Amino acid sequence: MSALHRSELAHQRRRFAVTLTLFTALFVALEARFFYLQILHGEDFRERARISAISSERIPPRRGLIRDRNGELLATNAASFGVELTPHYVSRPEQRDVVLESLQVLLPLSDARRAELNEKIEEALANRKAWEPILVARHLVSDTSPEHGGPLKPIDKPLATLYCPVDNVAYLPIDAKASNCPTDRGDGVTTREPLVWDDESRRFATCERSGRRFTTGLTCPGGQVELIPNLKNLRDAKTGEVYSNQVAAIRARLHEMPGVQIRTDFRRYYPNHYEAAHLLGYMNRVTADERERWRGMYALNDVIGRTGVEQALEHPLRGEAGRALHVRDAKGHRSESQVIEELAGGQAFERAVAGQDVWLTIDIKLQEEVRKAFRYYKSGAAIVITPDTGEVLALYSKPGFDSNIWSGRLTKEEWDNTTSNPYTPLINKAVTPYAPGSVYKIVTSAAALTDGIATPETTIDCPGHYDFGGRRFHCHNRSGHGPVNLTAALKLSCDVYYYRIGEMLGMDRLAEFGRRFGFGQPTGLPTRERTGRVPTRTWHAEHTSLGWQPGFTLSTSIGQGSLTASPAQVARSFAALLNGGDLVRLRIVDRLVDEEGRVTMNERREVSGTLDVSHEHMDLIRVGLDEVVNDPDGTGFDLQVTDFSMSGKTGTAEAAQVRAGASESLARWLTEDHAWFTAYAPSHDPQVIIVVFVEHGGSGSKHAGPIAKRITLAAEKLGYLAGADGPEAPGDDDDPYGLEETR
Amino acid sequence: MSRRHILQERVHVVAFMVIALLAAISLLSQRNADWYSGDDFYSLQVVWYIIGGVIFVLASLIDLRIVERLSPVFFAFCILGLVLTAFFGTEVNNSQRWLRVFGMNFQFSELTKLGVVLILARWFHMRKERAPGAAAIHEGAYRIRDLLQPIALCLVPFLLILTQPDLGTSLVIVLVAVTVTLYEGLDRRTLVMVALSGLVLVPVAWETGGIKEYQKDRVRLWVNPDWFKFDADTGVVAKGRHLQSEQAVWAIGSGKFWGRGSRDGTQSRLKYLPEMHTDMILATYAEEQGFVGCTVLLFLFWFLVFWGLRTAHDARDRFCALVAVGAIAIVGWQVFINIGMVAGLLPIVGLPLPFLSYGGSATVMLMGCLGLLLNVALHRGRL
Repeated sequence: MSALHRSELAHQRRRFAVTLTLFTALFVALEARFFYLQILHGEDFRERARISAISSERIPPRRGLIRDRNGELLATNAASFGVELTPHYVSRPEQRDVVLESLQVLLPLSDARRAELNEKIEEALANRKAWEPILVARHLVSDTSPEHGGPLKPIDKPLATLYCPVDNVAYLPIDAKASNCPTDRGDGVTTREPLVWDDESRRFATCERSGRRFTTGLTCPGGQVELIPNLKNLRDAKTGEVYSNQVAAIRARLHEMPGVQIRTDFRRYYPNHYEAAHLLGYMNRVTADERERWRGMYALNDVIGRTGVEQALEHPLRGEAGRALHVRDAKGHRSESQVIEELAGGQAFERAVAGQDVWLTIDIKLQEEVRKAFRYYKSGAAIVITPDTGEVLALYSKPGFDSNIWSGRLTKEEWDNTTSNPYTPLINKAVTPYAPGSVYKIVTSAAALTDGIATPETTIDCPGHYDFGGRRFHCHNRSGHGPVNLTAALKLSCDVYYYRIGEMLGMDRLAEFGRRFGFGQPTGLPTRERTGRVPTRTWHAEHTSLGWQPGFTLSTSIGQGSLTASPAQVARSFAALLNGGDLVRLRIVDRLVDEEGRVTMNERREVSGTLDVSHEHMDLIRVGLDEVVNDPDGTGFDLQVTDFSMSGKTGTAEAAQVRAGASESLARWLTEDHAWFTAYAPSHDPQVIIVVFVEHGGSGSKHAGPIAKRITLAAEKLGYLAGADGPEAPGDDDDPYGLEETR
Repeated sequence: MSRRHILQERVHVVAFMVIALLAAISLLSQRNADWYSGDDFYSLQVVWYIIGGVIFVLASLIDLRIVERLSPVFFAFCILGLVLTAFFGTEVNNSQRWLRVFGMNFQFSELTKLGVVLILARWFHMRKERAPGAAAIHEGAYRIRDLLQPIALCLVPFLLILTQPDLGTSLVIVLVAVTVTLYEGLDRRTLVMVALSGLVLVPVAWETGGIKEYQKDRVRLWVNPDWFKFDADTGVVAKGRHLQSEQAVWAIGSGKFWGRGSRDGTQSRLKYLPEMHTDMILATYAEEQGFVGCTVLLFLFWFLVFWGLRTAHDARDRFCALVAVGAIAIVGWQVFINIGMVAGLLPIVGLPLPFLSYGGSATVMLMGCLGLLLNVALHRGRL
């Protein structure tokens, strides 16, 4: 064997070893990679794979219904439709064009909106958000109005309109020879209103009253873009507006538009629109702050209750969202349930818990009567309560707003109109404090009787004015009432009598009784309320520019000065007087009922304090209040009713204001007094208390009184005056939860 | 001697069993992948294995001297096929790799791998046998100027395949050629120079457009998994590739130690793994069979490599040794690149995994290679 051969053998062995080592090293690297992926990070990757395949869908809870005491629906849920587009399915520009084109015709979409959508899709694709649906349009028209949720009626002969995507206007076709506006019905009949043509060419015209636009051609102004035909086949009986059923149109062509889906949500619907807007409140989009505060409870586009019961009972009404897990394969199709359970660990579905239904103590029929009673007045409030239990039967504030509009597509115009309205439609005046005037005299009376300053026999001569501290305080009757005792003072609403006893009581004693009657304190209503003010010497010393003046006592004793009280507080003070001295908490919510019909909360009569006034004294005051209406000299004698007995107290509070920039009529309105009237009936066993407040309404007996009388008559008709042992108290049958037992 | 002899014989039996086992794993994987995707690649793959088996037997029995003599013809046939593919090939996924002959699609680039091995083996063999003064070229002392001829020979198929474009296969051809050449031995200075020029060539190719933009994207993704590109013209985001590799990595990791079990791979079931039957089949396999299955698979491949190199070591002549090295280098490099790519170690290049991936040309070529290897093994030392 040669040396060469031997070296060759060694060489052979070496390259075998080197090559094997090389490949072994490569394979070890692969093995190490497997170890890293499967052993060290196996759990992690399994989890990542799981998460990427699973999408969790939130199931919104059904919001609780709001009903009145008889079960009438005050707030319910209507279906609301939107269109979404998942960018992934239209990632190629030509697909996108086809889908957007179809949507543009069906919805229709303006060119600007279409371009905006196109941009959004591209952005989503670029930012790895191809699977997140983009909202194309909300509040689509189906068979309910997108404006207020009310039902729409099909039109026998649909109205063909031509939509221009450039200026976003729907034109109605018209004959070039036409000279008068056609009717909305599309039946070819014209009205007397002249049609205004844009120019000589007679291509476009406007109907001035309705603002509707007309065209004789088939192209947009400018002649470049073709008009898109759009059939309007629904009409809103309320507004006369015509719509096309967008949901039906899109649904019919869904298969031609990959990635497009119709999204259904609930929206709040208030069948009574304006009737109880302040009471119920409205809903709108949750803010980022609120989502932060109640972490996890609200999704991005959720709505939350604003004002009224919707806000006060937001939590029970809301319910809890559920969750459904979907496993998506690489093509975005939902996979079979077996995989879901495997990946999700059996928890594929978590049902949503519906919100609880709220039953109110309100009677919507009475509420409606209250609204009608206010027909001739611009601004004011009324509250009807039961004196024994503090249940609120009606709570009304004028002017109001349509909860549906505020919960839905609120336009800037609507917002501006409402917020700039001088009669403040958004303020619930029933829980807003104003100067109460003479209705406060029951407090002064009770204080004087309890402290022995006045007895039933005490008479004070009223010359029409009262001189005090170098100042003359006038009675509302400048010629004087002559000698009056307490009942006469109430009946005649004699100010001088109260100046006198007020002076003897002193400011702080008067304030003390004010608080006993519940003034300056919340009434317990769940809605936001302002508590008003019962001034004391200290308060005046701190807040009045000249400091404490003894004359303030006199103003306060007749319900003027710095004293303020809301209609709800006035109602409660009367309730305390009439039910034997219990200051009951006012309540509007009767009970909460969950999905299965179980009562989860049942509000009962609650007393927050007592008047500490003897029964003889309270009865004496009631005699005075009785005479107000039933004595020929009484300030409210005009209001006397025949079928039953009604008592009450008038109030006329000076409230002249000056507001900068006010129109002449508004300025005049502002100079008027606040008119108050508190009525209760029947006089011997009061079942309802009605407080009517007319803001700048003038005389209490002339303006607030008739409203209160009308409401009392309505309450009588609805059976509320029959009392506990009466033949038919409404609510008895529908109210098996012990309301009557608590009386 | 006899005991050692028996042991050696036993190695070949084991190797044969390993090949059979790998084929079985292949069919099992195809069957499972079919179950996920609802296709039927399994039946076709069975057909390919039957044809491959025939080729395997033929290749293991044929006289290697005939093979040596016919190598240039075979190589020329491959080149012809590639040229025809370039002109008349079918385009799939922007790449022209298939030639339709008698109603069947052939991938000549697969065959070319073997062609290159054969032509190189013959060239080195001839060089040694016929060079005037064989001693003039010492073992392991080839210099570049000695190798101009084989380099030129390899460059033709390399460029033809690169322009299809098929980066993976052309890369394998280079690696196999380099492996064979290194096995034969290079002059030390030449070795350094080649390594250096490689370091220079890559950036040059990157800058001058020798590497295509989509290939660059894959490298960018490999370097930075969060990288993605938005194509303003088509609106397509070049992240599909990214997701593909990411999903494959998740699938492999999801297998953990024991695997999810056959047909229970959720990534595979939800079709998150594209090319499930071909390039990405390892992801499905790894998800189902876990670390254990992967380790077994790697060991089987390693054993093949070991057996191939051993066979080369014991081969009766230069040609046989280099055919064995080349054949096993084809398997070894493809295994490394494919698994490395699926497992996220390497950029994504289209390349099948020997045995497991579905493919007629690839399976038949693979069985041909292994048949030749067995042929060399059986005729070792005998002249």
